[in-house]
Amino acid sequence: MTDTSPDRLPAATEPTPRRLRLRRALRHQGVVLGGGLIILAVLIALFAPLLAPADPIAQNLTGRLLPPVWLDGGSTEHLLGTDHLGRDYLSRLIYGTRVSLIVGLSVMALSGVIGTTLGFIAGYFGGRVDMVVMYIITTRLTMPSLLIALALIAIIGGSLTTMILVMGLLFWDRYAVVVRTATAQIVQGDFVSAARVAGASAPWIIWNEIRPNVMHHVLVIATLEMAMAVLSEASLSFLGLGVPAPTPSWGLMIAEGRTFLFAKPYLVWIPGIAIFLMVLAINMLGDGLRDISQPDGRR
Amino acid sequence: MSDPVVLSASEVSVSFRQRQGLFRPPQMIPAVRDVSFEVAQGEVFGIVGESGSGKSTMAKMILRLLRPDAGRLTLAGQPMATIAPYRFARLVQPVFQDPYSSLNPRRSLREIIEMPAAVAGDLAPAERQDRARELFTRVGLPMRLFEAYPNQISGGQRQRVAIARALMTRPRVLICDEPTSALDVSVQAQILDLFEELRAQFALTYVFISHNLAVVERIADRVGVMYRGQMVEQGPAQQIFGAPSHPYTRMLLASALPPQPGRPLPVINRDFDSAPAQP
Repeated sequence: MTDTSPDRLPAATEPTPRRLRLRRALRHQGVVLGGGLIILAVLIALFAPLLAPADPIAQNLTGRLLPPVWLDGGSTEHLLGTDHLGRDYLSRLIYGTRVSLIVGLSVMALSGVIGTTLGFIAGYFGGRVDMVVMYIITTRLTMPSLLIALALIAIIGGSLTTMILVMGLLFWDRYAVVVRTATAQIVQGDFVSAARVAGASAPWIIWNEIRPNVMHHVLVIATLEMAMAVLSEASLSFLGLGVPAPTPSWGLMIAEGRTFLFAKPYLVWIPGIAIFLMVLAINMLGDGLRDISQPDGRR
Repeated sequence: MSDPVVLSASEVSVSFRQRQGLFRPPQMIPAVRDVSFEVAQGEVFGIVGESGSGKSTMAKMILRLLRPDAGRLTLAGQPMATIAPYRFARLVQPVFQDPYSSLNPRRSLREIIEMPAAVAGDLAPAERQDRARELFTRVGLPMRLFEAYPNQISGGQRQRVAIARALMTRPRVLICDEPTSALDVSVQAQILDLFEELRAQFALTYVFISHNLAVVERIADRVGVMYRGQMVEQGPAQQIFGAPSHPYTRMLLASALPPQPGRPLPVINRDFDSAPAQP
């Protein structure tokens, strides 16, 4: 009854690399947990207006420094209390997710594009081109990036856009180094020669033949860089050089709360935990992605 | 040999620069020196020689992956360097040695075979897929593997995919650089059979490079022997294998174990304990 000719057999006996990776991803704790937390953060950021119980920048000077609900004097009206200007802390925390994610993702994307492009060019062409790009990378590596960011933002003036631009233009080195090395190795492959004989241009080969083979490296670095950007945003905001004052940012919240560190420690540790969880989640996802993108054959 | 010459090399040379250190001038290492040959339409020209004799370097130059320092290469009567890329791709295609590095691990077999047409963009996607499908069965692969990935198939199957890809542009000449060397003996024979079938079906000309003399003897009409970058001898296969004139060719042939029908396998004394001590 059933057709058993070879052509009717189920597609290949082994799953495709893509499905294999997906399956491995869903079995990996780090990917599931880290990815889950990040998805949660994205949802919180997207639906901040619906989730936040109050306006994050509305001041209420009569209700300043109210403790969170689990401490004496706390009320369910302000679950995490209020800050020194009487702003609802939970709302600020929820809106702070937006700044954190916007900075993290934009810096990751901007530096990713710069770094991978340079890496592709250096790795593909090699020789003199590689020397020039390596020189640029080395120059960049000798600069203390956070200090430079600090100095630049101090000069230009802090805002979300400047912060993203400055960090994006500084944090591309790791992408460039890794992509360059991977590309230089892949270019040796005969499938690249086959594409060259077919008349393919350098951009065509880089996009169609090389890119699919380095994307997993890029993804892993992207997560590390995003964590780095989130931390840097918090640091810069803490130093008063990040997002300007009324905007809710976790780093800024810690900075504003540190005056009350001994009397009201929760003003510092609540946003501290938020930063910690965000960076932890991104790193777990990154480590997980690195594990599952190991050479084929490892299940 | 009345067929027109499709590929010719005349006094082609190339050398590689090797850096000796930061301040010493780079040393030029000749890889191919004054190599000349002609390949007629429909013929199989074998190139043999030991490792490092310049065979693969020659292949790279024929494929325009490496520019010769001197000499002229012509293809279909036209200087090779002046041929437009897509036209070049319709004249010559490669089959490489390593079936693992010759297929992009992240592309399906269909995508790999369609690649030359995708680059040229001269076929509608449906047409492209039809041709890929036809070639897929022509090289003896089952259609259920059409959307599979290289990691799911064997070395011999990979080489069949590489051959199908090479035929995608309907080329006149295939440059086969050690196409069977990475395969085990039984698969080698199958791939050689496939080459012979396709040669007739597609009116192909082969430049067949191998260090395996038995393989070249089986498939080649004419053979060139390369030694230290030079082509020391060339001629009809029977002549090269039957009556080699150059001492290197004779040495090369003597170093191989030619199959001799009727001669029994060498006797090996497996009884090590009772065997008399070697003098």
